[in-house]
Amino acid sequence: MDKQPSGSEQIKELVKIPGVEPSARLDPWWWLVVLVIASVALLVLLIPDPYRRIYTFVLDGVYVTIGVTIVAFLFILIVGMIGGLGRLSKNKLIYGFFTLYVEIIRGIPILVQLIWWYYAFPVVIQGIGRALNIQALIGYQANAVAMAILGLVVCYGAYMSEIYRAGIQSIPKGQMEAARSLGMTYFQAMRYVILPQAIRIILPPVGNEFIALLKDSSLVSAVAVADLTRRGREFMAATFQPLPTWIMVALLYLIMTLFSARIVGWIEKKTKFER
Amino acid sequence: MKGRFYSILIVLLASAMILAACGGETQKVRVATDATWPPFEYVDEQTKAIVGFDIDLMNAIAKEGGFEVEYINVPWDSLLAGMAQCQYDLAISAMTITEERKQSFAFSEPYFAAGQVVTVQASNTDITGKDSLAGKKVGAQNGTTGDIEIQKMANVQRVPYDDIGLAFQDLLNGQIDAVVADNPLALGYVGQNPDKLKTVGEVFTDEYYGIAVCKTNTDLLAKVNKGLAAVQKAGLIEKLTDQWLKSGQ
Amino acid sequence: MAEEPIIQIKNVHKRFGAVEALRGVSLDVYRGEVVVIIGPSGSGKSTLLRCINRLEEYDEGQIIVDGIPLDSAQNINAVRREVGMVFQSFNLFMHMTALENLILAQQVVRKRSRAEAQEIAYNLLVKVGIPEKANAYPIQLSGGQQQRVAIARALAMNPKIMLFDEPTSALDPEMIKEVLDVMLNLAQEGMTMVVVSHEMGFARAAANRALLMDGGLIIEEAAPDVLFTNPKHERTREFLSKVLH
Repeated sequence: MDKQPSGSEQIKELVKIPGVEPSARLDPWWWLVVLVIASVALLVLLIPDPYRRIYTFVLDGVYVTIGVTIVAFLFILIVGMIGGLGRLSKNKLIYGFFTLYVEIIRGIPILVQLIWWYYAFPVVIQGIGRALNIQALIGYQANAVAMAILGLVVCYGAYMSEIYRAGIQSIPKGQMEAARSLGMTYFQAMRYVILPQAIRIILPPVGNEFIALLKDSSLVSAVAVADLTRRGREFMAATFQPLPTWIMVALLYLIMTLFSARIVGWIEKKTKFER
Repeated sequence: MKGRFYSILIVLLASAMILAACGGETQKVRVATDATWPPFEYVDEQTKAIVGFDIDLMNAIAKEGGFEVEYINVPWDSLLAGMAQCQYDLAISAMTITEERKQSFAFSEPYFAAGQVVTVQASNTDITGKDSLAGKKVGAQNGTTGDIEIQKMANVQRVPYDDIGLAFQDLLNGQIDAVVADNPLALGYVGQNPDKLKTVGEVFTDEYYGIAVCKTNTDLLAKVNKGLAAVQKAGLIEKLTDQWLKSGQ
Repeated sequence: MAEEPIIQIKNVHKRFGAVEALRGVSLDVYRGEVVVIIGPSGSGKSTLLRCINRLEEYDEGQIIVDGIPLDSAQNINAVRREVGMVFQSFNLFMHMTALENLILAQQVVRKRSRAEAQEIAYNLLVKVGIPEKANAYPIQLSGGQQQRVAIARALAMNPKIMLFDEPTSALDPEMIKEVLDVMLNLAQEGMTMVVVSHEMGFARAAANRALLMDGGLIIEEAAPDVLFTNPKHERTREFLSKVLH
């Protein structure tokens, strides 16, 4: 059978439609990040006592802060998607459960929640262990970092659910109708049509949540996690130098949040499409 | 497709639970301390280890009492809450023995005599001691015995802080007029800022530090007291006082 | 010997809250037929159309499509594969190019390979007259082009029936013809079509039957020529006098 040039070959020959070109110029706000990094470098180099001492002491706290934030955020994105879909469910049980979750979690300050997870949750587990006579549960001791991450995920997951829900609801109903009328299941429609569009819409608030989480991660210092804030406190206590310590800690947080904000901005630009 | 989604979910949840479970089981005695209170406990700048008077004392007691310890560095408020829940076995943190605290947890025999003292700016001539604080702004760390003393004073404006370092910073900045804190700690801050701060008046309370013990663990309390008695007899307290409190940081 | 109608609508009722949108509608559509439905807004014509692929669920009566009754949820995706729908507001997937719009359902629902799906997609774009726009995003296309892509997207699934819900009502006048031409072509190829539309010219050229709906009921049904020039019912006359100018 003689083969005509296949459709795919013909496609390759098509002239590419010039799309919306993203600006080739660098976002000027990157200079602010550079500025803050330079300030830290200057302090460390020009006034090593105490700034270099502070920097070397709190550095491992920086890694803990970044690690806790990133790991927590990955789980938060997942919990948010499940929660958002749950809040849109027609099933009364699922809808009720997730609505209860969001309402309760949004009503309790995050610090209180973190403390609950670290101090009260193990007591609950131990109680269950005693009731069911399971040895492993009776001796349960909380791992500080795990509990801190769990607390952050449960708390921020509620807010993230609302963001997802709003994003999904902002997609016109016709998109779902078109997908379903082509024979796709609800989940296929969500995965290929609705969520990809919704995710691009919610990138700004999601990016904000990440930056907020970076700062709220300082609360884990209350539950025995040696993050940047806690290291700052320890240094300050050992050396009686509150002011330089907190200047350095603040600058380090600023570097992290400014940098994250630029990354979020860059992602927004890359995935932009006109509606 | 639906199945794949759910199986990924289950894997993530399972790993989260495993993560939560591991890293927690140990047979060592868990000792909580708020390592921001030099020279009793603080974090060594070079080694990041928790060091101080209390730490050396606890290590010696553990050796005598025949048990191993691990230290957990927790902020003060959380420490008090955690001890009340028996989240930790012991706590040593320059903690004054009070009747109120005895309701939440047990104490060992006292191991150190301290007291509260007033610190002011070096240039201050108004305040000469605890009796001349009327009408002044006085700071202390929330929940400490210093804080409790301020609350007993009439006509004093109490300013609580999460961290004693912040109280001293405010004093240096002139935002408050005085700080009430444990004598050894206050001397440490004065030592760091000799031209700017001074203590005034006598040490005005009789306080004793004790080691907090989980209420239900009478066995452990006995071991701690036994170890404490042994090291006291051997003169360890005097030795540690010389090492940590007289020679400065 | 008469074959079974490919769409059987039997005495269907549909309520939206207190409002009864369909009050007992019955209709048979045979394979290869083109049926045009006209009527004032609120008459239930869109609702009827959307009941056929179960975007709306009817309360009473029965609809059987290609031998499959629409009652149970099990069947619905199977039915929808065979029934293509074109919407008034196009509803193209905005985050995908025209070509990708056509490929998605083929891969995900019909389980075709990407190469196969791409070939079919491209050929359909040729058929509707805009192959050069394969890599364009919907935002870069005119209304008429978007609607043609939407028609191609529905055709990519090789449906047995095509439903059109006011396909040209949202288009600027100069783009209506290009879409109607595609639809006419489709009708001439023998596709079974049910079209809700005001375009009389199209009805005359392509439809076997035209129906007038009003108040949730089919008022009159005849060949398009007859219905438009010599209607029997008062309401038909009334409606036509308002629309034909």
